[in-house]
This record gives sequence, structure tokens and C-alpha cells, in this order.
Amino acid sequence: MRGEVLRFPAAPESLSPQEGRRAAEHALEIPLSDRAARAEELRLEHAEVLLAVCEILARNIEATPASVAEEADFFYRFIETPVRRIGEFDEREYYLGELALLAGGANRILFRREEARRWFDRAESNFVRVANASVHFARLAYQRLALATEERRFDEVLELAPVWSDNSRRLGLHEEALKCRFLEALSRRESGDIEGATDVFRDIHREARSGQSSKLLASAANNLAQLYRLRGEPQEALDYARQALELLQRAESQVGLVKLRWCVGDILREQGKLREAIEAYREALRDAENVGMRGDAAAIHLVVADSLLQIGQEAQAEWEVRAALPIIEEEKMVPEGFAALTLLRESLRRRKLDRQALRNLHGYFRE
Amino acid sequence: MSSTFSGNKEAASVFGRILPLIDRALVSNYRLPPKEATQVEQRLYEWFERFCRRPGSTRSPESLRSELLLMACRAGHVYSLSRLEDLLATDERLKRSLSLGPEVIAIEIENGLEKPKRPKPPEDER
Repeated sequence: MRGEVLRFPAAPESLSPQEGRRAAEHALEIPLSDRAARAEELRLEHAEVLLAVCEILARNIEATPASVAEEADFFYRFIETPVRRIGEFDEREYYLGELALLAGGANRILFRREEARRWFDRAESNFVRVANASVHFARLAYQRLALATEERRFDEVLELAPVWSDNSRRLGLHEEALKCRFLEALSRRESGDIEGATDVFRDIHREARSGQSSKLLASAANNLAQLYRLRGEPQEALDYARQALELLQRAESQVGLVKLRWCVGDILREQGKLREAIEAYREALRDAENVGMRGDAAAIHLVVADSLLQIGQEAQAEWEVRAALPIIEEEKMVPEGFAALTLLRESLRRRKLDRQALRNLHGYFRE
Repeated sequence: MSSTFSGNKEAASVFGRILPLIDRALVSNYRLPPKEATQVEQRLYEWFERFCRRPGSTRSPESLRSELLLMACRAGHVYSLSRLEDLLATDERLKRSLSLGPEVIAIEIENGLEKPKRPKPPEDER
């Protein structure tokens, strides 16, 4: 084996974290179509800029998942091809892994499950070559468990979420540890263990409050609102909903607000306040459409249709179903609800909505 | 090289404390010329400072020192491999470092850090 003496390349221009952040904010303002051509001027290959880009995208993932998915995709492709020298040692692989994880997470929120899965595989293939890889594998495991929860693979979640929660805690990832417990609680709820789910969410609520994790506290309160609704305790449910609303607004979590308004609609509906419920659903719908959560938007259209039928407004209900069906078909959602979808489509053709099919179909979206 | 340190103070402080070990590893274990070793150390610092700020890196810079040492040994390993043929024939220590691999060398160095050698007691105390 004969090797040449390895010359370490000259370091790129040094940027402070603040300069990196400003450069990242500026780069993100440039339209995607113009950005690659201005890469040098925008310093897109600078590790400090990429680190700030990742931080900004992570902060925005719940507020604007569609834009985060697009941005993460852009930066991933930019770094990947042609092969660019990024930062020092493992940094190229790290940024590829981090951007793929962000793209996967954003696609998961947007209901694009196959794309999310592919991005998670890309993240894994890069993180494996990164220092301190176990931390990133734990973060990836959480995303995969969240996907499993959304795909209703509850046995898998109930088996693995406690293991990853424990792993995350040992790795010092306290937020990830709580988030895994979160998925365990959701799976318990969906498996019909309302009592167990409430206990776990109360634990999370307590820990998040003591750890001052406002995002998790908001989500725990949001879920407790839904659980107390299911337990037939509307006052407790509304108390938690109020708490969650304030926290989610402060955290600008559009995704959380969609779920919360949807839940408030459900509570009001169960209290027989159908017109207020429809108002809450429509707010949730507006938010879901703004954020690009097409799956949730389709499901809420169906719930609104069901509520409208309940107050005898059949014509309006029909329009809500007409708005939902193309999304469900385009996104190939709820394959398990194919029969209900067919029945509903047929009843729409006859202009006499099949309420049972409607209920069955929106039941598949519930998590 | 400490004059070039900037940014995260805690990362700089940890790096400064580990620097003699890194230098020893690069120069003694991997036979980098001092000038090249200094360049690698500068790059290692820039890497470590950002490494501590990576999302998900909730641990303190102090607790990430093993990763720093490992990366230093990896850098030394890659450097030495590029000069393999000329050096291996004459240098037993380098041969050992390259055959054991950076993971083992980093652990050896870290163990040395945790258990500093005691000075030899005077003859009459033995």
C-alpha cells in the first residue's frame, strides 16, 4: 500500500454562531429555485450555516411542516450531490442525517408515510457514520415509533416505546424519553386502555411541568383533555383543553392547535352543542389546511359532515364529503377503510349520504 | 493555539484540558509532525465546538470528551495511513496504534486520563 501524504485542506472562513444564524435566515429567505446557484455567496456549504438551518427547521416543524419538508429536502440534495466537503470530520454525514430526519418528521406530520419511511432510512444510513451515533439512533427510533403509532401498529409501540424511553433517558435525552412514553400512552388509549393511558399522560404532564418542557406539557394537556372527554368527564376535559390552548398558542404549535380544536369540537358535540362544535371543527380545518395537514383536513371535513347531518343540513354535509374524498383518494389514505369509502362514494352518487359509512370512515383517522 | 479559541466557553475549556492528551496521541501514537498536529487540533476544536451544539446533544461538553478523543484518534489514524509504507517498517508504536485501531487507542488514552500515574515512591518506602 502506497499513500500520498495527506494534506489537510485549508479551513473555510470562520463564522460565529450568530453569523451562522444570520446567514441561515438569509439563505432561507431566498427562493429554492435561485438558491443553489447562489450557494457560494449564501455560504450554503458552511457547517455553521447548516447547523443554524437545522435548528431553524427543527423549531418550525410543527408550525410549517410542508415548508420544512421542502427545505430539508433541498439542503439534503444540495449536500449529497455533488459530494461536497462540509465542515470537519463527520459533519457532512451528520448534516445529511439531521436533514433527512427533519424531512422524515415533516413528511410524517403531513401524512406522507412512505416518504417519511424513506427519509428515516436515509437518516439512518448517514447517522451510522457519525460520532455519538446512539443519540441520533434514539431520536430516529422515536420518529419510527411515532409512524408506527399513526399506522396503528400498537403492539409494536407498546413493546418498544418503553425500551426506547429507557434508552433515551440513559443517553441524557429526557425529552425523547418522555416523547416515547407519550407514544405508549397514545397506543394504550387506542387499544382501549383508557385508564392506563390517563395514568401515563398524568406522569408525562407532571414530569414535563417540573422539567419546564412547555411543548410536551401542552401535548400532555391536549391528550388529557381528549381522555377525560372519553371518560365522560367534560369539565376536566375543558380545563385541560384551556391549559393546552394557551401553551400551544404560545409555542406556535399549529399541529397541536389543530388536534386541540378538533378535540374541543368533539367535547362540544358530545355535550349536544352542535353548532359550537361545528365552529370549533371549522377552526381546526382552517388551521389544518394552512399547515398543509391534508389527512387531518380530510378527516375533519368528514366529522363536520357528520355533525351537519345531525342538525339536518344534508346539502352542506354533502359538500363537506365532496371536499374530503379527493384528498383521501389522492393520498391513498386509510386502505383499511376502503369498504366504508366505497359505500360513502356510492351514497354520494345517489345524493343520500350513508351516515354509517361516513362514521366508519372518519373513525379510521382517529388516533 | 488557545488564542484561536472562540464560541462556547465550556467546550473551549474541556478542549483545552484534553489538548495535551490529543497532542500526545497525534504526535506519539500517530507520528504527526508537530505543525500538522497543530492544524488537526484546530480543526478538532472547530468540530467539537459545533458537535456540542448539535440538536439532540443534550449532554455537557465534559461528558462528550470521549467522543472528542475518539475523533482525534480517527484523524491521526487517517493521517498515518496515508504515510503507511514509509513509516511502518521502522516504527513499532505506530504499527501498534494502527493495528489496534482508533477506538482502542482512544480508550487507552482516556483510561490514562482517569487514572494518572502516581509518582514512584522513594526507595526506602517500598
